[in-house]
Amino acid sequence: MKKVIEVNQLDKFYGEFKAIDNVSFTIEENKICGLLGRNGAGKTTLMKLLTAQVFPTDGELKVFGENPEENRRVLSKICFIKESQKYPDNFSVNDILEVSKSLFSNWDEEFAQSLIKDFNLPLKKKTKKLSRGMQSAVGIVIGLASRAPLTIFDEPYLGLDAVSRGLFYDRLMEDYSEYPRTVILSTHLIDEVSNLLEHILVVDNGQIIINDEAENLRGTAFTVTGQTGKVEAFLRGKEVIHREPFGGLLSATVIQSKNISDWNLAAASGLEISPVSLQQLVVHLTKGKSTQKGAIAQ
Amino acid sequence: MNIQSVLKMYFRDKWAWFLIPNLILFSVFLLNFIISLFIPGDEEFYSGGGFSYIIVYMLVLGILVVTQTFPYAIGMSIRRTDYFLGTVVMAVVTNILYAILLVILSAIENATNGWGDQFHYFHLPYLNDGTLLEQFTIYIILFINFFFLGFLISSLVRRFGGKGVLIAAISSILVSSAIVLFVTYYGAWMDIFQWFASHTAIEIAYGLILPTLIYICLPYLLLRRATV
Repeated sequence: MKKVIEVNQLDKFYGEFKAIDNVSFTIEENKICGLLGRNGAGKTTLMKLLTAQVFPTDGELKVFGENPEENRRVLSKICFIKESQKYPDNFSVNDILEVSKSLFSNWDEEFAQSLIKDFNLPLKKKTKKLSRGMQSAVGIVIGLASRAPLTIFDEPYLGLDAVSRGLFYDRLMEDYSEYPRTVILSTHLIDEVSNLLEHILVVDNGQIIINDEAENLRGTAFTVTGQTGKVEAFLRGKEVIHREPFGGLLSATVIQSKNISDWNLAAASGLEISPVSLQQLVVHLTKGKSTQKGAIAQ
Repeated sequence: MNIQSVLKMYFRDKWAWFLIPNLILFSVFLLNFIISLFIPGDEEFYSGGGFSYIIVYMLVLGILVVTQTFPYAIGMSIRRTDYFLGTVVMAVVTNILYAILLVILSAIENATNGWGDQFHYFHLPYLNDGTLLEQFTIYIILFINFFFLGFLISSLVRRFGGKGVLIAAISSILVSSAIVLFVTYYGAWMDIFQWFASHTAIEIAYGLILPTLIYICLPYLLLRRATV
């Protein structure tokens, strides 16, 4: 598999604050990758580094095998839609589409028009006057219709209703299966997208704490519930990421160890077992550690 | 070519680049021309000067361009260098058009003896004394100078934020105060006025070429490291 992104010991500091702290990872071609983490964890900084919107403090960064900084070959293959993307005040939706058409070589006008219809976007309206949700929809149309070899969505659906979000996921999957490309999707709505994601990166405090296939992660953790004594006995020697006692019962979330079949063991001791969703897993792993420092430092 | 995309982006904004400046230029002209009709007798009527509106507008446009389009262009994966080059091409071409427009209007005004009413708006003494080519050169240097002064100020904000501009503003005020102080101390004001009087407008415009080139180059260095 070709590697689209190779990051090696990357640092990005804002003064004293370490937004990205010694991060290394790679992303393979034609996968949909989820970039998850709390507010201020460093997700947006990481995506801005990949697209050369901010510059790294130290470390190595390669996109399509080259440094993206001021690199036309690399940048022309990237479409980055961020939540806070600003458009010129005088521009109508149509103006933005026209400019996008000239910017992205794979632009599909027909697809763009059908998306405009799907999202009920008024072509003549100035972007400044669009509602928050509609502005997000404009970004989504650009991101999908550009068919850029590397498409990055950073919280693309602020203010977008559930119907439109569903529409976005459907259109993304349809078009992705027809025109495979590398997609990075950063979001807080993990449950909604967990079925789309093939690879998961979790960022916490400027560091990557999970970098794995979604398939592997889905079986990683489970929750056992039962009488406190029995559960405690079961937990011995295992990696517990969350505990929640209530009355004489204890509910604990455990990381599955690779060799032993914990499920059977737990079942044998009469404990109740339930799978942990990706969202719960991420919440447990990042809870309490992250702070809001990142958002403030920027 | 990404420079073409940058130009395309600017062409979509017809109001900022073409409609608003022309609207200002011609509505002020019309207003003043009507006023001049009410002036009795053979008296000459000099009004503000059409070129000054374009100059001021170019300063404003230079400032607005960065705040309006830089975050958008960088967000759309345009190289900083291409954004800069595209802006230079757009500004130079636009200002050439305005310079041609003003030279033509000045020639017409001169030929019709102030639109038949001794009304002077485009053709002014001193400024329009030279040949048509000289007038054109003066305009183009002035317009480009002011556009990129605005562009420089705005690039400074983009690169260093409000604090950087404050420092730049304070230091330029300090430097100019020091110059004024020295000129007054050595009683050199008369010499300076005489120097201006002894030089034609075109000679002074030539003197502006070097600062203009600096205004053009500095924003590149600033925007090259600016983030969005």
